[in-house]
Amino acid sequence: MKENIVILIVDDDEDDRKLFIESAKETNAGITFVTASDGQEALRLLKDEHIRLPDYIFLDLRMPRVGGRKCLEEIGKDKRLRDIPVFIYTTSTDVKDSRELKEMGAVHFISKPADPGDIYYILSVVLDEKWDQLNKKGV
Amino acid sequence: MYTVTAEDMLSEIGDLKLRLSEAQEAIDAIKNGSVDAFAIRKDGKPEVFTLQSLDYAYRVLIEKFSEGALNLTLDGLIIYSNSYFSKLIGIPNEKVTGSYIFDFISGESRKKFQEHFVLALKGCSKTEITLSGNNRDIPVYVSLTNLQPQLATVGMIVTDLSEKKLYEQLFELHTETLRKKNVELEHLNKSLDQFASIASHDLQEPLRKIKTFTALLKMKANQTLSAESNELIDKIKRSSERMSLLINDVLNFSRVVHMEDMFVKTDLNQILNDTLKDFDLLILEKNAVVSIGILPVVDAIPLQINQLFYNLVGNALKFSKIGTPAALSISSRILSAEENGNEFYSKFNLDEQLSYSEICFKDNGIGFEQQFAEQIFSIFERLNSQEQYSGTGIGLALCRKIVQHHHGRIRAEGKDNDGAIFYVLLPLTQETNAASN
Repeated sequence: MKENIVILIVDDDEDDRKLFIESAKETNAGITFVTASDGQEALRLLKDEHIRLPDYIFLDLRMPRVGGRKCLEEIGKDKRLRDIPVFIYTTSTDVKDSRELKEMGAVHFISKPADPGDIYYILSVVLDEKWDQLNKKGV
Repeated sequence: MYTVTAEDMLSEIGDLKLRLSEAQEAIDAIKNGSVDAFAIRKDGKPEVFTLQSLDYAYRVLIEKFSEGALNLTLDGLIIYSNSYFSKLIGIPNEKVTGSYIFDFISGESRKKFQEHFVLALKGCSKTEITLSGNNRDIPVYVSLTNLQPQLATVGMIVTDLSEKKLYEQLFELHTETLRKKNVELEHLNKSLDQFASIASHDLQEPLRKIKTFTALLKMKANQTLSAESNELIDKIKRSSERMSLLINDVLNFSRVVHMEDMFVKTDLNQILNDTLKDFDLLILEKNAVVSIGILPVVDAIPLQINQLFYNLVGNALKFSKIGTPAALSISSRILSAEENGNEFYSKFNLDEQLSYSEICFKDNGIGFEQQFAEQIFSIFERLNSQEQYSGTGIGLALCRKIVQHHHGRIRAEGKDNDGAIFYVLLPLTQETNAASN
């Protein structure tokens, strides 16, 4: 498992951001979280060259102003950013959304789990970079 | 007794000869036109027949026509018009006779009529034109017949098309209205589906949180809560799970027609095998016997057929009788208009150009009363209580929607407590439909 990881969480839902960070504590990985409440704020953080780039991005889809889809598109256009693994982290279970966003460059399409224990599982799989295991869990 | 002498006979022959030669003369005179009228002796009195009186019958008939009849000279002068024609154009008959036909033809039709008039001089000609009479345009169909060499005239029959055109216009208007209504309906359906999709997506969000926080509460406060409180938390959990199921089903239901997936050649055997794999455990648990026949390859959207089979197999297993091993048989046959007759096709409103696969799912479960055979396909319709059999009441509605999206039909037959049969009709090909999708 990597160390000194920085994860950017882009989600307009404060509860979801907190739950995510809360679950991360259990991984004992010493992750630094950077949060943004919409795509616009996320892009501002990512484009600021004085701020360290995150190792992973968790991106919600439906957010005010700049949504996840637009944000992902902008990340794909930027040479500095395009290699950061982006995980779509959303309530949607739409197969079509999933397919389209993967085509746009998202590493995985994760439907937000209802069970807090599953967040821990997702995080550990992501940090291990064994992303294909996400399929098995059906998330 | 009356006797005839030879003299009597000779005199009668002489008389007959005279009458014969007179008759011959009269016929010759009529033929060469030198006679206008002739008299026939009847009951000792002469009766005069003019040529006019001979064609009297025709004149009366023509006057009673509900079509215009005209006789025109070769340069278009009207020498005869029946009263229907003058009424049609609203000009007194005496003014019509003696005028040129071209005066009663609207500007834009005149050239066309002239061309057809020239054509008619070689035989006959028919066309649609517009008459112009008394400041009114009248669409008509004219038939021109050359009467030469017997007469140096052209006969013209005029059929009024005003009513036909009016109906045509009305028909077009109605068709247009219908088309607009259809577009409107499509929009409405789309927005309804969109509404269902968005609403259920937005409903999912807070529901997920209810589930999450209930789970957190149970995790963190499990020890300190009383058994009763724990049970209440479990009830919240169960209800929210059921709500989640409902929302997901509504979401799936609204997505059927929005799927942009194209129809592809789909091996239904493959799909059925995959579906049955999902039910491995349940089949073992229910001690069920599943027999499958050979299914065809059809043009379909695999993901949707998968869902269709999943729901039908799932239902058959779910509604099995307690204490009886479940038995499900899945078979198919091919139907075509030639072999299975129009009656079957018209009964199910099938496209006669297409062959269909009829896939039959027959089980030995609790069945249903035949009177509910249609109702079960309605959304949220349930025949059994939620306590007895879980489910959202969307499964079969989704099946029907999927089948309809494939331009097929689904129907059910059942007996109370004695099994159910579901028939799925799917067209083998979607060529004609694929283009419009």
